[in-house]
This record gives sequence, structure tokens and C-alpha cells, in this order.
Amino acid sequence: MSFNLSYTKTDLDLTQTLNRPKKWYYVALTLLGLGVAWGAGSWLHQILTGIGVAGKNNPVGWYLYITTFVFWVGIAHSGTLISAILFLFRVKWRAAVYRSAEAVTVFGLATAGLFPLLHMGRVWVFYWTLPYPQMGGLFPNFRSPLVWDVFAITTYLTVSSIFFLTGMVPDVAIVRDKAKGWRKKLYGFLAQGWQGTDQQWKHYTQAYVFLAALATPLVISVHSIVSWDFAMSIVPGWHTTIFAPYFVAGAIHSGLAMVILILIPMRNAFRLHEYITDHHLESLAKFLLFTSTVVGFAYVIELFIAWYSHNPWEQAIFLYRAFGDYWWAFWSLFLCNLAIPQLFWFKRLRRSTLALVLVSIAVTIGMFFERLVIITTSLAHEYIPFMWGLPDLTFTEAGIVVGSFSWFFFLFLIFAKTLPVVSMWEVKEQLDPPISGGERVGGRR
Amino acid sequence: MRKYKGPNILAVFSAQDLLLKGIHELKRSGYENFLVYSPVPHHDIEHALHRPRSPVRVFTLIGGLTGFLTGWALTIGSAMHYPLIVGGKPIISIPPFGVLAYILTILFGALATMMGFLLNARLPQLRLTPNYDERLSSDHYGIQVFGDEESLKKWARVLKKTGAIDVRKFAPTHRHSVNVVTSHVLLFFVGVFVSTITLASCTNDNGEIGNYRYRTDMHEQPSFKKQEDPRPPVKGTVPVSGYELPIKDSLTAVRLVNPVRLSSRNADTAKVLYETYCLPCHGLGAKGDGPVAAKFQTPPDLTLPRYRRAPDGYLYYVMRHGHLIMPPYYEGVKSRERWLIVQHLRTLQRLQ
Repeated sequence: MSFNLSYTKTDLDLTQTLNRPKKWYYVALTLLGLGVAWGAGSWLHQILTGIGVAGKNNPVGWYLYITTFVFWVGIAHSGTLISAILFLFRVKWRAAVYRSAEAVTVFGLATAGLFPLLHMGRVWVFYWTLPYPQMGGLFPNFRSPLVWDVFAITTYLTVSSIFFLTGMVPDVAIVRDKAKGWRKKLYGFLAQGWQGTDQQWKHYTQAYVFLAALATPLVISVHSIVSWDFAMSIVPGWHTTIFAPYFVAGAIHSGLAMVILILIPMRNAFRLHEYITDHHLESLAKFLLFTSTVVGFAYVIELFIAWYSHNPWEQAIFLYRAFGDYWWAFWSLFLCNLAIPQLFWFKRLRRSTLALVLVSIAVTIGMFFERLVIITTSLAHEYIPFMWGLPDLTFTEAGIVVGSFSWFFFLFLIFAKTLPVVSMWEVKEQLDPPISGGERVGGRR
Repeated sequence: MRKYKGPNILAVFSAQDLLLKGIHELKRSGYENFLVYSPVPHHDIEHALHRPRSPVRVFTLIGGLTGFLTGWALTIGSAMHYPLIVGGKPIISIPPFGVLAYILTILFGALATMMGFLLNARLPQLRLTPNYDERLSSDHYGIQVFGDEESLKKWARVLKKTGAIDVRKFAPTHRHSVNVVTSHVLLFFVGVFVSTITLASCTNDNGEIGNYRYRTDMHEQPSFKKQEDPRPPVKGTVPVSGYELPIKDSLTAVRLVNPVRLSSRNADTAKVLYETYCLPCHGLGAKGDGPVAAKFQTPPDLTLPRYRRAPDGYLYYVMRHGHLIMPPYYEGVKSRERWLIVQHLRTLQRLQ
């Protein structure tokens, strides 16, 4: 944060993001709306016709839907990492970026949460996944990782939404106090009567610490549970113990890339250079470099274990990944997730906005390919050669994937213009408070 | 005197050090019935106020523990209620159930923390304190002192002296002291709770509330009740083993010719068929001395001359449609098998 900020200026700068949007905003919103409509139409077509239109067939019954699901759950993770774990560690640069990162979490989960519904054959009985006694008092099978998944995702969405909204309350109160007319009523409702009394702050700060502490283990556990959807089976290439940490590292890797991709255009559009500085982006870039080495380590270990285990099926599947039908995706994930982020060893590239955007795009693509390779190749080449086969990409399936991306950015655009994108009270907390007699302009503490 | 309620004054400060001075003045004289407004939480303010710690942590603890126990109760309880071995795992599988207990600990803990915050901070309240100043959320501070007319006058003077830029007085009428919205929200949740309990107590094991069936589980199928027959096949359905032409009566039947010739290859089959379906009543040698017949009703001795003279078609007809108390073997025994049994019967008669 720059040194010539004060409480007054912070509030003025950061509530300006809510002013009447420019034309490009509506253009982008319309385009994304069309994408969402395409996805919704595809889904409707699938519901009316049957799951067959999504190209689901033996042997690859899990294809782009699950790939996209894992991708979005992964995207969600870095938000909680930045907002909760860095909060507990009192990392200062978190304050300016965490609100957007948390929005990425909530909207990422709101997108991922659609996918269990999207690949249901009979979506109108979705409630069978919930724990209630079905015929004769039969509950869901709690030994199944798919049931854990339902619990983990629901819990993650609930806890991160609570955390997101709780962090927002004092800021919405600021907006309420500056607004007029119907906006005052709307933000007054959202602020729920927040006045910033010492009693409220006392309970608030303690609740916030505990919410952060409760959200922290979720960063580790949710994607571990997603990985167990695969690792608990006996499919070669999935049945490994490394999967949980491997998926968690990958999740944070892709999430950080998405946060960078969101922050940079937002900073330019809202002119937030004083709040989201190059220092913040550089910290994120360092983090991305770290996770890329962790992910790369996991890739290499997987290959090593396939060789070291003397397990012919494991070896066969890794040879197939490297030199089979999906060789291009396999090698591009090494390139995108491991090699390209190594550029961030250079300070000049860490501080270059263009380099940050390009590397983040590469990582996002690479992480999508990683899930595609893991899920598709293992199913396409299981134990019996008689069962080998490749999936077909259908128009419906592609429409839903495009729709999910549109949906995510659509939600984010709406958020950016209706709620404060940078946490005002936490930025102000890091400034010197106004003091009587002369020096009213604070600086970094 | 109730805390933080009733007539009050609000002193607005533009700087934190002046606010702290004001707090010290109040604290020094031991006056506790006041609130401090600040745009951000600050350690200096906390230290100056020296108020008791927030009880939200207790909510978190209780919520977390409740979630932990709920996780085990839900998984173990449901597994015990419907013991079904899945994937060769024990009925009570501790490691996978632990995952659920862990998740629910976090879920319940977070919800309870939220609850604890809302209850303790008296939120949500859809109406602000009437004396609230809109600068307080941004860059100003405030001290709101509650009390009687006399002490309010005194504190207004003191706070003005310490540097408050503005001191405002407010005496709430009855209308202000009741928070209508909060009570409505509470009433709503109580209503939801009561109606959920009522609905839950009306449901039964078949997924019905009264006559309304809310569940569409797999057993919701056109086969009506558990004890009923399966659905009959569509009219005109022909079995894969071929279709038997109807026989009008025994007079038509006697003209039928046995299409099966006994050979060394099918003699054993015929014997097995007879001993499976006929022996229990008719006995090993068809003399009517089977083990069931001994306790039930004795059938006639089939080796008697009048049965030797009976045509093959007649015996076939009796097997197919039954006779007196002998049940029909139309569905259990196929046409060819019946002809085989007739041949075996002839063998037994010849052996006599």
C-alpha cells in the first residue's frame, strides 16, 4: 500500500468502484450472459433428451464434466488460502487482495457445485444424495467418497460464503452511509444494522478469527476428498496415496493463477494501483512459483513410482499418457504448470503485468489439461484391452463447459459492480489512524 | 438502569487520540454505560475500554463438538439401523465415518460461530440507532453515553472539552425501544422450526405425509404391493420356448400322438423329471405310495390295467390340466417334458 493514504481517501477510492459502469461492462456482461444461456440451453437439452447427448459412454464415463468440476473446485482453493491462512499468519499484503480471492472461491464453488447436478441422469431426484432415510430407513453409503464429496463441497460453500459475507459487513455499512435513495435501503439491508460499536467489533473480530481457523483445514481437506473420488478406486493411474497432497497443490496452483488473472484487469479498470500494488502481485507470483515446484515434484514422483513399483498396469498407463492419444495434453501440462512458471525466478518478470497475465493463462490451461489427462487416460486404458476406448466431445458437453466459464465470470462481474472489491476496513486497519493536530495523513504502520 | 438503552448523547471525534482521551475520562470516574463507535477495530481502543472477552469462542466450541458427535451419530446410527455390508467393509467403518465427523465439525462450528456473532452483537437489526452518525463508519469516532438527564448533561460538557467536534442528544420514545424486525425474524425461524417438527412427526416409513407421497424412490413402481404378483406379461406374449396350442377337452386329447420316442439318451431325463415332479405323490413305481401321499391323499395305482389301457394323450391331458385333487402342471412342466414323463410311466407299467 502506498504511503499517502488516509481513512477518508481509502473510502472514497474504494467506493468509487460502485459507480455507474461504462459501456464495456455491459458488453462483457451480455457476452457472458449469452455463454450462460448456451450452457443452460445445453443442460435443458440434456435433461429432456437424456445423458447420452453428453457423449458419456463406456469406458470413459467421466470426461469433461468431472474435469471441469475438479478444475473449479481447485480454483476455489487459493481464495481460502489467501483469506484464511494468510489471515491467521497476519500476512499484511493479504488485506488488499483477499476480497477478490474470496469471491473467486465462492463463485468457483457456485460453478463447481452445479456439476454434480449437471452429470446426473435424473436431476430431479438430486436430493437422493442428501443424508435422509430412503425406503426402509436406508441412508446414503457413508463409506463412499462420492458422499464425502457432497458433504465436503456443501460445507466448503457454506463456510466460505459465511466468511465472505461476514468480512463484507463493515464495508457494506460504509457504502450504506455514503449512498442515497434506494441504494441506501439495499446496502442497509445487506449491512444488517452494522454500526461499528465496540461491542460489535469485539464479537466480530473473534468470530472472524474462528471462521478463519475453521476455513483453514478446508483448504487441505476439500480437494483431498475430491482426489479420493479417484484414489479410492482401483483404476491404474488413480489408485495412489500421493493423490491428496498432489491435488491440493494443484488446486492452489490453479487458484493463484486465476486470482492473478482476475486482479490485474480489475486493478486497471478501477485504477486501484495504490491498493493492489506490484508488491502484491509479486507476492502472488512467488507463491505461484512455489506451488509450481510442488506440482512438478508430484508429477515426477508419479512417474518414478510407476517405474519403481514394478506394477505393469501402472507403468502401462503412464506410458500411454506420455505417448498415447493424449500425449499433447500430457506434455503441455509439464510445460504450462512446471516449466513456464519458472520464469518467475526473475524479478523483472514477476513485476511485469504482461508476464503475470501470460503465465497465469498458461497455468490455467495446464491445470485444466492435468485433470483431463488424469481422468480420461486412466478410464480409456483400464486393465482389459477389450475395454479400451476414447470419448467423443459432443456439442452439448462443450456448451456446458463454456457455460460454466461464462457463469463464473458473469457472477464475478456482477460482484465487482455491486460490492466493494477491496476490503476497506482491513486496508484502513493497516494505516495509521487519524490523529489530532496537523498530521492527519497516515502511512504504512 | 438497562445497559446501552434509553436516553443518550453521541459525541463525535475526528481523531483517535481525542477519542481515547474521552474514554479515559469516562473510565476514570467508573462510568461503564457507554458505547464506542470506530471505523476499524484498534488495539488502543480495546486496551482503553478493557471490556470482558467475547463469548463467541464458546459458541464455536459447542458447535464444533455438536458437529463432531452428529457426524458419528449420523454415520454409525444409520449403519446400525440398516446393516448392509458394502465393499466388504465393516458395518461400522471408523476411518470413512471419521471423514464425515471431521466435515460436520467444521460445518457446525462455522454455523455456531456465525450464530454466536449475530446473537452477541445483536444483529441483524434492520433499524440503526436513531442517534447514529454516518461519518462513524468512515473516518470519525464516536462515544455514545447512556444515562439520566443529569449525568448526560455532565458528560456532554466533559466530552466537548476533550475535543468532540459534535455532541448530539437523543431521547427515544417507546416506538424506538422495540426492535420490531428482529422479533419478526425470530418469529419466522420459530415458525419454520415448529412446522418442520410437525411435518417430520407426520411422516411414516413409506415416505408419506398423510396421503401425500413426497418420495419417488425406486420402489415407487407399477407393481403395487410387496405381496402382489409380478405384472402379467402383455397379451399375446409368446415364451421363447414356444407356444402351446390350447386343448379343448379330454376327448380331443386322447387323439394326440406322443411325439417323443424313448431312447437310451432321453430315458434318464424322463426318469429325473418323473422323480422330480411325480414321485412325491405317485411313488417310485407309480403305485401311489409316495411320501406325501402317505400323509395326505393316496392317488390311484397307475400300474392298474385301466391306466395301462389309457391313451398317451389322456395322461398328457391330466398332467397339463390336473384331475380331481391333482394340480395342473401347465407352467412348471413343459410340453415335451410331459410327453417324456408319459413315456417313463409306460416303462414303469411294463416293468410291473
